[in-house]
Amino acid sequence: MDDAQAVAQAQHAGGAPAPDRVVASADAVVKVYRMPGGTVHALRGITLAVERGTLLSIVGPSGCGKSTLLHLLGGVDLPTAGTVTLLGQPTASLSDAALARLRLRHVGFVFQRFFLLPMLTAEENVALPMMEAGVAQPDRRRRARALLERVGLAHRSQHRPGQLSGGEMQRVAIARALANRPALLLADEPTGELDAAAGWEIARLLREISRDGCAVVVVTHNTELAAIADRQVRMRDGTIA
Amino acid sequence: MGPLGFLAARSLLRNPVRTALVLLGLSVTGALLLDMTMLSRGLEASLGGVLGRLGFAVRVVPRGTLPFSSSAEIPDGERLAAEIAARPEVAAAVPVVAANLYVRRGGARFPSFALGVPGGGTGAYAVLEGRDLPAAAAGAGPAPGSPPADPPIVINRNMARLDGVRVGDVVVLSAAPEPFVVRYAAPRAFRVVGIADFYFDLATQRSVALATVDLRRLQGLPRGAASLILVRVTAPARTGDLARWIQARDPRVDALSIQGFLDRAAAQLTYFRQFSLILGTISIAVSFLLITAIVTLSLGERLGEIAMLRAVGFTRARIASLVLLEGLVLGAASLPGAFALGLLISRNLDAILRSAPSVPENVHFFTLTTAAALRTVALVLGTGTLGAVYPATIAARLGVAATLHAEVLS
Repeated sequence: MDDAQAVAQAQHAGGAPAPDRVVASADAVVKVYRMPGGTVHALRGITLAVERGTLLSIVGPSGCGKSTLLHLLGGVDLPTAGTVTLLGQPTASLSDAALARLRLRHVGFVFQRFFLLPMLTAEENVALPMMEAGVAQPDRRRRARALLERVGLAHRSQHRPGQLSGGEMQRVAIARALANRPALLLADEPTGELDAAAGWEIARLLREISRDGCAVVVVTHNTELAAIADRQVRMRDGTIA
Repeated sequence: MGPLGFLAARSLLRNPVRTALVLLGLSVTGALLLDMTMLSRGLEASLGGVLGRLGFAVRVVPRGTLPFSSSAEIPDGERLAAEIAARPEVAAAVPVVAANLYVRRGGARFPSFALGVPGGGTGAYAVLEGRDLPAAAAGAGPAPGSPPADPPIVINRNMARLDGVRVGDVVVLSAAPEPFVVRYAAPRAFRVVGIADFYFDLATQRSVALATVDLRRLQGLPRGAASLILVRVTAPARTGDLARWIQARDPRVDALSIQGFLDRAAAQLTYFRQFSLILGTISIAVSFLLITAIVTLSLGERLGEIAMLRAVGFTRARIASLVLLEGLVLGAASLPGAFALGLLISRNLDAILRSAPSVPENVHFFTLTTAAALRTVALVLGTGTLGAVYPATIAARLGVAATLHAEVLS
């Protein structure tokens, strides 16, 4: 399924302001964790739609359920109740392998701690999702270089993560997230471990990516990043405030 | 190479010092495994190599024995050999008599293994210096009117070296250690015509080859019996048929093909297999635990990366495969070291074992055959993969969201 088809399917998800542009949505989503110390209600009936070409920021105090919501939208976790729809498909109805395939083709992730593989070069890290998706080597190499150029790191393509600064590593991670041309980019505290200048650079980059048509959801404490978002969602105690 | 192979291979670079130490450990255990694999069938392989070089496809022995393993003889061996030789698929059938003789030298007597053959050119030994026994004159006396000549013998290298005997020298042989054993004929002088390799000599064994008629005369025994019949065939494909015919012809004998010979020898060498099985199993167990420990440890240090790979789109099965491949790659990377070290150790162990008494010079305990090498490679790779099963299970069951959350908190 290409992006256009995915979005077309997403039209059937319903419940969002602009259904033809919805990439992912949450409908009355509840997430409960059963821990040894008791039950934790991470999300209490969240309803939200993420539209193509927009930058959506999710802000709120620690432990309010921001990252949980992000993981549910990306299909790495499943709701306890309610429905999460990703590219027109309810995530709970998909097998683990089908969800993985959906993420590989249509979702990009950016993490606070980058999670670049230390034994790979920047170019190889970026190419990794394309390798898994079966993109031919010449194509993935070309695209990895183009993506590194886009994030301003063409000159660092053969460097390993240990040879890069925090800001550079996060830019490589963003390039990796864009490798398979995702419809949805999810970033969890992408500036959390960066200084102000590097953080601003990342914010600007995410903004550009959303302008290119990708739906971008950012969980952040960074007020500058939150401020440049097209839409801001404030959470508190598992609900949208 | 797919992404998993690529990632698994690169995982060796993750912590180079630790990887080097692990590979060193795996090389040691792999070397032991290689040595035990070589030892388990080394003697058979070595024996098979020597037998193959000799060129005799069938050995006829008294039933239930191996060549020269006892004093048992085929009562009418010479006649049976003649019947076998008359068959169209047979190139030659050589009746051989084995006996113990004594070399008298300087008042001392040394035991010697003696091979009685119809004449020279049998291929039962390889002449290195001088010439072979006369082919047709075996046992023939001197021509009328000629002075009596000493009968010819061929001696082995040990005898030449230990007793300082050279081609042309005369040696005195007797069938009994003491002259008062009257059953045997008197000692007799023989002229050394050649020095040869007797293939299955022990490290310090003296051996001689002489005409059967001379040997029997020395023993005071009539001709006719044979310890062994060596059969050379013209049609190797019909060896089985020939062996069956011989056994049907004389039920008192066994007609052993080379493989039959090796199978019978192997049945008497089971302790080598048991020994190598025990040490090989220990080696595999240590390798298994080493790989399990190191891959599990490595996995624990990069749970976040594994969660990232899952989030990016790697399925559980792919993650499990990746970890299994890492174990496989560790095993594969240890192979060059294991083979280098294993061959070095086996050379020394072989020298030690071969220095023991009763071990033929041309036979080795540790033999690197293609089968032994392939078996070792398969065991090392299999152990590497199985060693990664436990961490692969952990990786496959990893909760992505919980792990990502925990990584941030840590």
